[in-house]
Amino acid sequence: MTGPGASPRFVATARAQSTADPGGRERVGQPIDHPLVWRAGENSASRRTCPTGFEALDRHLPGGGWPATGLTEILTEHCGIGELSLLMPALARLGEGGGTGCIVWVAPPHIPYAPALHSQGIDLDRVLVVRDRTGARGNRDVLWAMEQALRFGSCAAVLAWARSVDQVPLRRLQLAAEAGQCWAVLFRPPDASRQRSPAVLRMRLTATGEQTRIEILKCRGGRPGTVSIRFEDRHPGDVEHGRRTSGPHRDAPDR
Amino acid sequence: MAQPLRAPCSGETSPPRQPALSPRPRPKRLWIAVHLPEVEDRELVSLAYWMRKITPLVSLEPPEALVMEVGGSLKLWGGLDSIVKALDRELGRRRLTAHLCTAPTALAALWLARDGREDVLSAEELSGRLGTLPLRVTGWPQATRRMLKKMGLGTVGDCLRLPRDGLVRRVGQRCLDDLDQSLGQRQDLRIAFCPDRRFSSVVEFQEEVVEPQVIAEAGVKLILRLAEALHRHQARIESCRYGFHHLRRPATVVRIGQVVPTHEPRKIADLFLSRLETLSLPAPVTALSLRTGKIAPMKGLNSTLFPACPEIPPKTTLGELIARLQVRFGAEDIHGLGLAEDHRPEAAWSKVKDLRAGSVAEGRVPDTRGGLWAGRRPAARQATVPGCPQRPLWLLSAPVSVAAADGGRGCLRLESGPERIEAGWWEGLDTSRDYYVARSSRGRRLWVFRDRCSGRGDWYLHGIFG
Repeated sequence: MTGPGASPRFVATARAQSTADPGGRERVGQPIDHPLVWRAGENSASRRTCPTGFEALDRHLPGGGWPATGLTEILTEHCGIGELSLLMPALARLGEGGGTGCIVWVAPPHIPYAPALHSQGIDLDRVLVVRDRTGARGNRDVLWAMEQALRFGSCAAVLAWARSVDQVPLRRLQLAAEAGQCWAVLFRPPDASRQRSPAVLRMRLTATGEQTRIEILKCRGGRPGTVSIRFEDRHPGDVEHGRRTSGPHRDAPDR
Repeated sequence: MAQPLRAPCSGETSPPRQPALSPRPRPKRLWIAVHLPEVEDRELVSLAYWMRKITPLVSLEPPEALVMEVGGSLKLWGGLDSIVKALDRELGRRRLTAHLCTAPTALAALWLARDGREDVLSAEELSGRLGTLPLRVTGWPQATRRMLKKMGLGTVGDCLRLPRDGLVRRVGQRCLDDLDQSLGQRQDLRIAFCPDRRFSSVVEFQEEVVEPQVIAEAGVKLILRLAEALHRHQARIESCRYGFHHLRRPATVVRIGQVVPTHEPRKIADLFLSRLETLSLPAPVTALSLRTGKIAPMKGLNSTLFPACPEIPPKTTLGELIARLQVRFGAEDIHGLGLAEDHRPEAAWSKVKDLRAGSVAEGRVPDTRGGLWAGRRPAARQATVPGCPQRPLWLLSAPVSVAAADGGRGCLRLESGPERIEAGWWEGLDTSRDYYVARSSRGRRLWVFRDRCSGRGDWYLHGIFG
């Protein structure tokens, strides 16, 4: 079945195919993967996604992964509870599949440590860091740099750390990410959850014991939920040639 | 008898002779000298610019004169008369009084023009006509001329009649060379006038200006002038310097560098306007000036004979993005990351500053293997060697005391360790540290170390497992 997004022309060709050969039923299913076509059964247009590398999280996200275009908001109180480890498998994958484009870090709170990034499989040649050395620059500069990088059009991902962001700049970022076909990740303090946001995905991270609790607050085309992930010590044996060879780590879903 | 290098094919003993090149008739050299008494240097340069319309061989003769070679341009201009007429018209337009003189050599033309003599068109007449010139036209040092006068020599002809070796001994080789060059017996190598490869221009305001709108408009005006000049020179710029001039105060100078040399006014103006947004000026502006740095010649793009797929260049290149970010944040704060071969955590990474010019300059998205940065990249993957302990994703720029780090609350539980990292004496830092992975009461995983050098064994935070 085709949803309202499908063009009539496409329906006609699919029908023609199904009458032409007896095995047409299977073949009809194939072109429906087109990004502009969505099925009536799904509640959202199928989007380009990038697997997170954590099965439990993938199950909760529509399309089975991070939205590859659009704004993702991650709300954390402080760093050190796995907020970067959560992104690492996806960031490594962005560079891996012949993808072009750089990963821009805007105003990171500390130094992104190159040997650790490299061991997580991130191609350091693609990393561009925009430092906010003194922390004196306002959010305006951070958001400006983020928007520039998003609109640039050949960045794969832009990560940015901001304190408080108003509604209008958020909307701008979302539009810029869509225009530049880019994954924007904005880290914000947890009190931002009270604010409305045009982001495609919002999640709040909290540490509970040794696990990290991921609350999905908003998810376009999906449902809010909670996932707990334990970022285990990545044993160096798992890592070979800068790429993880084992599957996702043990993670315990609980709802 | 010289042996031929190759065995003769047809029984000849000498190698086959090259066919004689038919000599192309060389145009006869003809120089026009323009002597402009009491003219400013600026006017002289400006006239030299104009003369380049006639011939590329224009040379400045600093005190008040110019010479140009017109022998090669006669055909184009339809004879000497029309060149002289055009020159006269231009001089009239500029309200300059000048003596023009034409001669087969540059020095002869110059000397004749300085004395306001007639043209000399044939080389045979030259020595006779030069002979009557007074010595002051030669521009030789005062002392030399005075000495020659004492010897009773008042004209160029007097010098020409003297024995050469004696003259050299008394007045030096340079004067003899001048005489030879004026007669065409010695080659006269001169430096052709080259237009200035820098650009500078000013917009002055009627009054003191504070509105950024007005300054922006003036800036765009300057950039359009610059773009025109760049177009004329087929060149690109790497950086510009904007001067915001104030009344009774030194000017504020802002340098804006272009990561990729460009000639497009849009790109130059883009950077200027975004810099202007964040610029704070100490006083109202009376004038805005623009000066360029190095002008690089335009480089052509090579493309393949059979392009596999037509490449669509992106609207903005990575270089432009970086330039734009640098303007706002400063060049120090935009960098890439690289690995360094060092066992100490703070020295195991490096900032990569220089852009890989190739991938960026050509306006292409960098390919998968090339990368953005041309940095130092050791082949050793030290971080991925099995058995190597894990490293945190965040590194603190300087270790902080644990007591102050986590808000001073709770305690740390050590999860793994110790990993001893020591030495560094070659950089004057002899350290010995035991690193542990610890978890704070708030669930953060931290990378802490105990300083073994200090007697108390203080604990420090050095990294965070993000």
